[in-house]
Amino acid sequence: MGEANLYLGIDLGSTTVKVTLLDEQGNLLFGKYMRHGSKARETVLLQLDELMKQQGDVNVYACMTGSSGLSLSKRAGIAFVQEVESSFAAIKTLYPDTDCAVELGGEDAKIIFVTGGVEERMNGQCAGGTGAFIDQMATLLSVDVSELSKMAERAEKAYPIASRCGVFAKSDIQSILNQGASKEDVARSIFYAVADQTIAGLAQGREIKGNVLFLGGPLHFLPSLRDAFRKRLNLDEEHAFAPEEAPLFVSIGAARAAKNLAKPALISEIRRKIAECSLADEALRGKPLFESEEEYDAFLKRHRDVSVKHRDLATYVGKAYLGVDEGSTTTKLVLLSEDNEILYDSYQPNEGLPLDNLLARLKEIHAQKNPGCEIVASAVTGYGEDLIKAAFGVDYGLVETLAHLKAASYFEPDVEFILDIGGQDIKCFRVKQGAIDSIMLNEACSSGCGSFLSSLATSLGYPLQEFVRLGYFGKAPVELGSRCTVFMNSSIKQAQREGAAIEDISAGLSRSIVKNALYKVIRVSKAEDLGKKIVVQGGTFLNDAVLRAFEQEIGFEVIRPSIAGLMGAFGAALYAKELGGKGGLLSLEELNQFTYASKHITCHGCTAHCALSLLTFPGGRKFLSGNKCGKPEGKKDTSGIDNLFAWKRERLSKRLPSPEKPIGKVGLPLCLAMYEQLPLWETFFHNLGFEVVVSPFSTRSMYRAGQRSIPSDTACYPAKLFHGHVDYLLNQNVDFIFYPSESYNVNENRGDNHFHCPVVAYYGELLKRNDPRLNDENFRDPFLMVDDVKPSVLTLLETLKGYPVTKVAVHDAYVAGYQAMMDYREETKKEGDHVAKSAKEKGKTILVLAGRPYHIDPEVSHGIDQLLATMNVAILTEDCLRFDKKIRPHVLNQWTYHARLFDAAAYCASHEGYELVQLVSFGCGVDAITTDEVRRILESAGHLYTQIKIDEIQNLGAVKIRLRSLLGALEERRGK
Amino acid sequence: MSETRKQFFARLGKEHYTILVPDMCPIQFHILKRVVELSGYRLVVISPEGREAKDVGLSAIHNDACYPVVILAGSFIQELRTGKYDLSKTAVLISQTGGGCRASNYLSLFRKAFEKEFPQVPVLSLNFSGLEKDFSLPFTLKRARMMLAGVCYGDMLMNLVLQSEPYYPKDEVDAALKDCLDMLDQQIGKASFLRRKANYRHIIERFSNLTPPEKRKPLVGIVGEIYVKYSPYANNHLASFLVKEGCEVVYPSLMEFVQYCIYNSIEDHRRYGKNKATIALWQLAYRYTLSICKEAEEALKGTGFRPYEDFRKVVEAGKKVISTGVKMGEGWLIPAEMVEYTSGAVKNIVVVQPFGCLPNHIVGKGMIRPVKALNPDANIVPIDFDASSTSVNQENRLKLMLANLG
Repeated sequence: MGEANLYLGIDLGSTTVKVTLLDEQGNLLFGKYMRHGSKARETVLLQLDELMKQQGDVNVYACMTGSSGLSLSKRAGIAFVQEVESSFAAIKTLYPDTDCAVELGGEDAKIIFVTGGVEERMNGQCAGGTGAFIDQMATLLSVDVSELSKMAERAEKAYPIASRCGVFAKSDIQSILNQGASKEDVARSIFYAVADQTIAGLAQGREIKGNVLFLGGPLHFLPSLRDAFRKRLNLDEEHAFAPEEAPLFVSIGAARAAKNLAKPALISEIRRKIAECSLADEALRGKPLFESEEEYDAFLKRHRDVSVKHRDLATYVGKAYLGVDEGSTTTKLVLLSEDNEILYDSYQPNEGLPLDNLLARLKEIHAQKNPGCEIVASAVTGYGEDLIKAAFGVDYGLVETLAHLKAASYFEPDVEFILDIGGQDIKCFRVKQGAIDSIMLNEACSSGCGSFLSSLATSLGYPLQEFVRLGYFGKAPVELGSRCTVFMNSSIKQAQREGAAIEDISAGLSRSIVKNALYKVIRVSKAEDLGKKIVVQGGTFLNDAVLRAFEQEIGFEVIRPSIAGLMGAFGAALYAKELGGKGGLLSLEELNQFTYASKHITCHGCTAHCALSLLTFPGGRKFLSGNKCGKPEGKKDTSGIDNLFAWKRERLSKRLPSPEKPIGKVGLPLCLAMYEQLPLWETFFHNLGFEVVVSPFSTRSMYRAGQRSIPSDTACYPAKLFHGHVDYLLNQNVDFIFYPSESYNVNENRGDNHFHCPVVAYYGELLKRNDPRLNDENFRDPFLMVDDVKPSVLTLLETLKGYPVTKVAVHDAYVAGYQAMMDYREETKKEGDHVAKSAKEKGKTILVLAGRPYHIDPEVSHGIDQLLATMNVAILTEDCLRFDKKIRPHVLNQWTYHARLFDAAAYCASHEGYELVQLVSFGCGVDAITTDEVRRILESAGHLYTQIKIDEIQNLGAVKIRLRSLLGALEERRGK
Repeated sequence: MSETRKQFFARLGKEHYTILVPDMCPIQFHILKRVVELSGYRLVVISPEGREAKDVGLSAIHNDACYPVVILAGSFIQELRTGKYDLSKTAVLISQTGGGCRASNYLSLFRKAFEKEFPQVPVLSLNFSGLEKDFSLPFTLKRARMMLAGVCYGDMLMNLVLQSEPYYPKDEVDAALKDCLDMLDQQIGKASFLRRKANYRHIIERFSNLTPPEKRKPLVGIVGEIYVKYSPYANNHLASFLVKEGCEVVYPSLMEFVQYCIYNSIEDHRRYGKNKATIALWQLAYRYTLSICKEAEEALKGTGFRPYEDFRKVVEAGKKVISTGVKMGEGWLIPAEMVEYTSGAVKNIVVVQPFGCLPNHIVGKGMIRPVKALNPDANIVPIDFDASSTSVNQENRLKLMLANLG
């Protein structure tokens, strides 16, 4: 082997390859950074060739690093060092005065604290996809990443975007775009979201300060991303910067580590080892989509038959009907003739500019059509329904579900099941006797499966159609899992590293999308449950690979109309035709003069401070979005009427007077169980002579204030908000914060047991140990069983040691408090009776918005109740119903809150005029069990089941569609 | 089920039912299987391989339910589909702790998952909290003592294997393990099975030529959710991976979890006045388990093998960071083990949990900070397991922990 005085570092990341050669003094002799597409190994070999050309075939110490380097180094028998360790080695030699380094890679985010106790942290799986996330967002806006960074520099403001993970952020961005926000502002919001995610998820309470180093490709290449971090960390350019070696940094570290880890070898020898090692193929493979060309041809022929006639727009004379489907990523148009022939259709990405896009299409129609053709009626559906209606004077708006049902019934009058996979959403409806029987829409985690296909194709350098076509004959499609696109992305990277062919990845992805729809959204256990007559549609189903995967997965054939991507628009056109002419659509002349201006305002109508977008159109027409109630539109605020959520909030806002000479000051955080027990504890402490401070309803800024000390990012949002409440109360200088730990809730004798969920029960223990300001003195969380007075009094006496309280006083205060809680519960029921009565008189739909007591928090449910109230619905809660019979659910019924859910479902199932919508906090593991059971109870009684998942995502776009679908379906049922 | 419990179990015994049980702790379960089989049933411990069981699970169970229930249901269904079993005489057995964690609902999730395809296969519950009275396996006191002895033998064997395998050839360790298991198998049903001290002695004797050297490799403790912690299938063979990376793996004993459950019942009595009727029994059980664990500790003295820590010490360690009132899932036990390990020789810890595990937000990830505050040289990495997550993602994080081995 001989001696060597050169050091080779190879950093094989999830998206890029970096190769570095250093000499003894650490001088950089060679350094190269390249994206590897799906060809990681080939790219390394290419770079090694170039290195040899430049430096000759010399003896070196070589070391690999990076997430993709892990398995390759093992197989090739080359030394390996973990990438965070590499960075650390490089920091220590190159920038020894660094206090902290933030490194973003393709899939991973890392923070290294150098001073004040070395600590290295990596993101958990869920937050995965930082560089990859930015790539996806850029694709969404049809720009490349450097353009995205430039756009962000021109931004005027940033919107709050859920930063928990890429999929969530994307949902938020999509709706912001649809509301007409400028791309520049969205671009900036994206970088802020990445910064927030990294800081909150990784720093976890440790302050990032002093000299901060920005490492990794994205931070090096994107100035706006660095800016976002600086703004969020309050650091200037001098103290927070990306070193010029940033992209190569990790490979430099690996080269530095090589001396201790490797033996000298010739570069050609290393190259040979890498070239010759066998790639791991640990990925599970499935069967191919098509076994043969014949099979493919037969498949094509079968689906080609389901089509609609087209007719020439230039020669058609007569009435025409326009349908528009303004989806999350695409705009779809259909113009129908009197005989349901398609005169014009269009399916285009809206590139984040729905108005400009549609304007161009409408002008095009006018340019092409025969003067004798008159557009007499128009209708719009989809995410952008309200916007388009306001902007272009479209006659009718209709809920997506209805539009799709109309379209599907056209092709199959006896359709039993419709599955629509669009870019962002997956929607399924079961149809019984021509009416929608149940609706299933994806929740945030399944979002974006469709558009993931196209953004992946783009990132691999293929046009979408070609990428999908490659999959048809993939011999052994890779299994990529079905949890969400972040996980799929990570599986794809792993498959690539293991040398999977692009054909197999393409086919595997098509199958994963289908599996996500079937097992996560529809929750089907047997394919037969879907019914025999299935219509599949949506842009994603235009890909034959997805269609094929679906048929294979369920085991029988389905109908896919040739206009699968246009079904919403087609249905809307049919709807417009049914309802007949109104002629509101802008004329050519008006279209030619069409302009719009957008303005951003913060509403100060209430404490929610919604960020509003106001669009103004010619003729003074306006469109307001972002609001959750009618107030900013000048309508009378009806959101509090017949709304038990609003009543509860008002009731819980009333405070008892402060005692004149308080014996102490206690802080009660209005979170989790406290939402129900506030009357108990407020009364208890008040009666003992304490001054009681109750934290206010949660807000986004409170969340941010406490975000730093959250140790587990996958916990539910209501729990994570707790950190902000603690922060608030500490600022109020309370003696101590009180939140009892309760394994058991009040025993209401409605189930097998009466537990709280682990998070509600013990979150106090977590807080006490994770917010550095808290200790056993200023945070007291005694273990209690509240409905057992005697032990509770003894425990509380212990808790209040040091305060002048006697056992008798504690006992009396406790009994009074408990009574106050019972009174509150009874008041709630009385108010429920009242709302129900009032609703029945007014003929309103009564909707039980069922969840947990803490779901009334406006930051937890994001104003869903107010939104419903403006839809002329009376809102009840699950705990205001007077349950009149006991049910035995098919699951273990041992949590008090959940028992109420089952009982509420049974109540709605057996009482005329009651419907139920279940609110579920993202990450609530127990609700994985309750949702299926609540659905079963309702559906077995012929009721519709609707579930709404809530989290940080503030945007109610998808929720609105869901609720309107429900109300639309109810109305239709009543009509029949 | 219209027949009574007595009738059902009479039939279960007489007709030679085959009962499928999950693989959790391979060694302990090997012994427990024999003990349960004394009642006349045939037990099959299923040990799935490959990805398929996970995929079957994903299609049968709500994907937001925990990872253990997804893969367990998948493995059971896959096993039942093999056609190896007379489905009219096959049942599935799982344990149920009856705590406030959603794991207590596995049973109903299984029943739902089996409903369509295997309606005739009953799902039985192994629990001590009075749940599912109609479907709980009946136990006598004697059988319970044998079970506990079985757990102790299994724990002892697991401990010896873990301590010898980093230093000796695999076949030698395997052979010693097999000999010990054979020896115990022969005693099943005989009085000698309960002669613990003698059996411990035999076991340790068989491992005497596999004693670990004084200078140990870096010790890495694995704590966390019980199924993912032990089951090699669930945790992608975590222990073997760590051994290959040059570490010695340290596992808490299965008995420790049993003691944790017993301790919680006593705590419930102390804190809330619960379990009035059974408290004497729980206290007796607590003392009994402490004493039989003590025997194992004594037996290991001076052998070069490290014994398990006394349970009472673990409890005290835990109290430094969390209240013993936290009792859902593995509750306070996880932080207690973390404190106990990092205060001693085991500075490195992998804390495992199913993705989105509720109690582990608090007792796993939520307790890393205080444990580190107590023992700043602690090197702890939390790893999530999920049917859709990639092994590279996990491995890379483990590598980071390994790079900082203390």
